[in-house]
Amino acid sequence: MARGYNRLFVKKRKHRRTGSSTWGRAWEAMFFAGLCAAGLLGLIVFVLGRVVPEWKVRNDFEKNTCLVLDKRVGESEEDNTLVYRPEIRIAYEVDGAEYEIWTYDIWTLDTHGGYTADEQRVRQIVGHFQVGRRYMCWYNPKAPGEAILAKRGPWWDWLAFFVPASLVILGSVGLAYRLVMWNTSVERRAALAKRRDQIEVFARKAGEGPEFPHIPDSRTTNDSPGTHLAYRLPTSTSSGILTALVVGVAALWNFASITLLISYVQGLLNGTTHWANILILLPLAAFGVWPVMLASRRLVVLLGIGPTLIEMSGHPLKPGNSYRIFIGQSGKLQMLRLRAVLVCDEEATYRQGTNTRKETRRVYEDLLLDREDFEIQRQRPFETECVFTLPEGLMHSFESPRNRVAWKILVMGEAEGWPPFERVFRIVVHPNLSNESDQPS
Amino acid sequence: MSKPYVSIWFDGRGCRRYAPGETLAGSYRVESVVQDEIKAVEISVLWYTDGKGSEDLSVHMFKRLSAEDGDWIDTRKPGRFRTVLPNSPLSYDGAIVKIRWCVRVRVFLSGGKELVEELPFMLGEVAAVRRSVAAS
Repeated sequence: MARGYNRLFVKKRKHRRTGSSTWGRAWEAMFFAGLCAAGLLGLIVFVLGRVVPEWKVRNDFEKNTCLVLDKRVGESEEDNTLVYRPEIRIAYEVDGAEYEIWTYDIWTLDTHGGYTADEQRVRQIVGHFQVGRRYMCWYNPKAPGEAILAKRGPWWDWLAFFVPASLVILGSVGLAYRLVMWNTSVERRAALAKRRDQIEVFARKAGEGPEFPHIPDSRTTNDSPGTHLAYRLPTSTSSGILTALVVGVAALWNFASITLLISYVQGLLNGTTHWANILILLPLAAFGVWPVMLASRRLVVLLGIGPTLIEMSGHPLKPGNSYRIFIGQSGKLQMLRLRAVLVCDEEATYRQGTNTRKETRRVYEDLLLDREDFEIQRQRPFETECVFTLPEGLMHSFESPRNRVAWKILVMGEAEGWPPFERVFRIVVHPNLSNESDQPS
Repeated sequence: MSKPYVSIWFDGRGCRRYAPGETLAGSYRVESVVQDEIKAVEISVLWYTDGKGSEDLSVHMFKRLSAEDGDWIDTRKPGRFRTVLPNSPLSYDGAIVKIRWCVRVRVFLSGGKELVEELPFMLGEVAAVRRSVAAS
């Protein structure tokens, strides 16, 4: 019997969903409408304050010459901050009438306009003009008492255009998408997304859809042939990325701590810093030792212990089949223990409040190799082969945006004088469609 | 008049387990609804994830009949659906990741109301994860 289904809830807390999707959609639409409105408002302010005055100068004002009588840096106070503008006193003549005004550009014609916090730039502008010399100016024929010395403002003012423009684009696209999708079911959206993905795949490969949807592609793994068996598995790059991350954190933390410490010590000697500041900083600086130790340990393992090789007789794997596996470990090591395990992990990503969390659960584990107390020579790496069977009925690899079933081979080692290490080799398991039973070659 | 509902059934078999590549066919019927009230009907064969993670959903087959687009939606006789099932993902009852396959029929009624009904089925034969293994 069909089960009633009413997906009113979208937010998930563990196994429970809360919140109405209608309200969620409404809030999203309102958010994007707000962005769009804020952007439009910003654009209007920008056009009225920047574009229109410049356009007016370019089209209405007429060229003339003027004599500089005086100059100064105008000062005003905005929000308890001093702001400045160039003010040049000029004299000019229009149709026999003489005019004298304090001016610089179209904005300084307004009593409160044209101010900036950049005092240095204003002083440079004022310094550029020499009293007693003649300069080009532009006056307003409709109001000849208005004249300016600069037709344009600084070019970087135009960068401010991108902020409201981006808000308008972001807001309008977001709003349009939400309005179009307002009455579109989740299935229809998924079908549209699938069609879009297929169009992209067709454009790229001009081929068919995937034979095994939502299973990671094994072709990149199979590109590398082995020397002992058919396929050499690439090691997972996550270990290298994590090491780089730890090194980065250690470098940043210690750089910031040391810089602050030096500045505080200098301040203490000059009498400008209180000694309590150093007391607060010391434990933070001491904490920086931990990422350094972690980074050194990871670097030692990454660079010091030789590479681990895994080769397989078949790939992707299929449940019910047996495979040969070659395991090689090089380096000069006195091994206390070396283990290789085939594992299957479920990985689920979910939202908890405003955080995104990921949980991993191991659902299958098969010990492939467990050796203790042996020596690896630099010229004679450790090499061994074994056979294992993937039992029938196991889940295949699976990948979707927030859920995953990941198969991997883990090689874990403990060597004398070295920290323990673990290397991860991702493998792909396909469903056994024909229940064929391959024997290892 | 009784409450409107949708009934879905598969063709000629009691078992709801299908193999990858097998054809899934069946019918649906919208009951206790006046034909003029139906604006659109959507039939999907899809999978979604259940369990600890946020839901992922993918549609394998999707068909929309819309009265506005001139499609004839007849409530007097059952509507049909038919599709060849894909090779993956197979139905799975894992520890924190579960994959559920179903046929879902969504009926859009006038006044913005919706009727949704789904009929689950199994694709493939993957064993459920034993809780003891998952917990270890």
